[in-house]
Amino acid sequence: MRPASDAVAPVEVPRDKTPHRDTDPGPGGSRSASARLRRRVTRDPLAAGSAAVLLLVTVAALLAPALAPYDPDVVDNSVRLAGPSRDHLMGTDQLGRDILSRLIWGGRVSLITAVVPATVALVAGSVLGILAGYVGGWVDTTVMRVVDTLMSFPYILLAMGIAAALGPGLFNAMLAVTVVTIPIFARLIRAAVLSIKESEFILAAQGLGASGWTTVRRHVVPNTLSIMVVYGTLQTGRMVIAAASLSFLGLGVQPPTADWGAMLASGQASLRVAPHVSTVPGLTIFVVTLAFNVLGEAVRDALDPRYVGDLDAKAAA
Amino acid sequence: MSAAPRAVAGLEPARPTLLRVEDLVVEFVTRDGVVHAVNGASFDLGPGETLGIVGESGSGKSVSAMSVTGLIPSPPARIVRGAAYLDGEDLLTASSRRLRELRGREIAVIFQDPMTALNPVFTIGSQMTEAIRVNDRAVSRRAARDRAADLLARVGIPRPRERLQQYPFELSGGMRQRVMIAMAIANRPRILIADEPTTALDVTVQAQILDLLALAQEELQAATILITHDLGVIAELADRVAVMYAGRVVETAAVGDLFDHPVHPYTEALLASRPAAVPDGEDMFQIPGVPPTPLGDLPPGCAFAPRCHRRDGRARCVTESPASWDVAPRHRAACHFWTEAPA
Repeated sequence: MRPASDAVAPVEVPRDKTPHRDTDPGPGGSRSASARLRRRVTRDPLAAGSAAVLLLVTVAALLAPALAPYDPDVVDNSVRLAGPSRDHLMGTDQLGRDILSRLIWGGRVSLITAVVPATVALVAGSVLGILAGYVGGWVDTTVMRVVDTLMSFPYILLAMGIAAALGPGLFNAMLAVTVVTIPIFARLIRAAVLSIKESEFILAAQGLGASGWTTVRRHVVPNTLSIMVVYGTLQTGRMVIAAASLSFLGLGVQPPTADWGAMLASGQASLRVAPHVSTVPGLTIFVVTLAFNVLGEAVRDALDPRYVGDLDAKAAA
Repeated sequence: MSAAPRAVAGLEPARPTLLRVEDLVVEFVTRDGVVHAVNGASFDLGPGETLGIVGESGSGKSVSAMSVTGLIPSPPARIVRGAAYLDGEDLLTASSRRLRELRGREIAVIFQDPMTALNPVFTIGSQMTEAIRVNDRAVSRRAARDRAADLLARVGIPRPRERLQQYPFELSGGMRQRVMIAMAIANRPRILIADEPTTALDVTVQAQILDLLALAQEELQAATILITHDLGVIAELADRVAVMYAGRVVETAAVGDLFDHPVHPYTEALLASRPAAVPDGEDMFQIPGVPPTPLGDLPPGCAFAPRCHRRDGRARCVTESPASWDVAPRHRAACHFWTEAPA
């Protein structure tokens, strides 16, 4: 999320010297991936906005104790279901708790329940996918049958099972979401590996003496990396919703801890008299998920060297 | 087709052999049945020599050359029989670890399509240093980079330092093939296998790449197996030629002998089908029929018999597989009726 620091700065990118396409490699062509990502994010307003949103939410979550105007769990019966005001910028909920404060504190829980399962599932799923795709044979068959089984399992059902066995809670909700997400990555990465494995550059590298391990490390993994990162980002957005859903159903974080999904659920009863209690966390979930998705797209464009020319053309226009 | 019945030992001067492939049989097991890709191919390669393997698509030329490197995926491929000796070591039974040691160091491969033979996500420099260092970890990154720049300069790429920074998509096809050649010669292999090195390139670039191959080979003193279906390429680069048809080597000879005195009817027909062999304005010659399908059981006789102009209805051609005859010193052909070849 670091490139976002550039995103909030005024978009003042020094123009590259006139590119001589025929003789010069041209700007961007030979830059590092992170440099290209920075360029991409600073030049695409949507990507910049998404990065800014995610940065804002992250910073707010990190600095929650300092930023939140109220204690998120303190009940104040004198201001129940109050609309936005100077004292409570986003109003209060049915127990008179400050919604802005709960939103900020809830961001901690929601981001953790989104990012951690997505990351764990990405790593575990990629390892399984590469193993299955590259090694093939019975390893492939075994891994993929397990993956198929897991994939046919709705995550809410699994979460309910885990909650029933181990009790509801943040960790168990994350566990359930992680377990059902691993197969998605495993499948995707396996498919990518299967096609990369057949590439002529793999054969060429082996023709020049590369070992199996070198082949995986230098040729297979780097070529799946953009898929991993893009899908990882997109899945993180999905995780925000999954985590909120579990909390909404009472399978995730337990009250009174603030969480966007739980806040959405608590506003249900008063939807007619005080719609802001549900809509504020609901909109937050929507915007954050959207930001993850848009950023995922931008990351894809930046990580794929074949898109660089396209980006330069856009920038020049 | 093991030993030639008329082996004239003593007539030929003893010639050092770097690589000797004997009676190679390779099959591919597919869902539709067994594909007989190579059916007893034999050829050898002397030090510093360029052997052109010519034949139409599916004649087994790539498979027979590549099986020496251990890069034929198995399954589905299955080496049924045969041997490939490099300095007396049989490569077909060597461990995959040993073959990996040999690849790059002793045997390097240049592939057909330079557009896909480079990894799209790394710079040229990164891939070249990897190719250098994979065979010798003692070389530092910096030294490997210097060597990569030097190699690029040697294969005729201007401003090599800048090229090292670029990604494959920023280079033209000819440039990429130059990079592939540079990578192949990086570790000074003794054998280069060039699998249709110019087929994917523009005609104007083809000549340049052929010149470069000849140059690289001269400098390295490497023996080269040049796989192609282009007789022009053979004429330009090869010292000797092996003509393949339906998985067998039907004729081998020095390049001049082959073009001047083809003995096998297939070679004869092949040479007659060249545009240059036909006077202007006349229809070009073509061999009637199609090559046999490699799928399923092999017919017992000569694979070329159904298309052969020399057969003249003789039964022996379809009942008995022809042996490989020494028709002249260092000139062999697999035809029962080789004596009928025009002088």
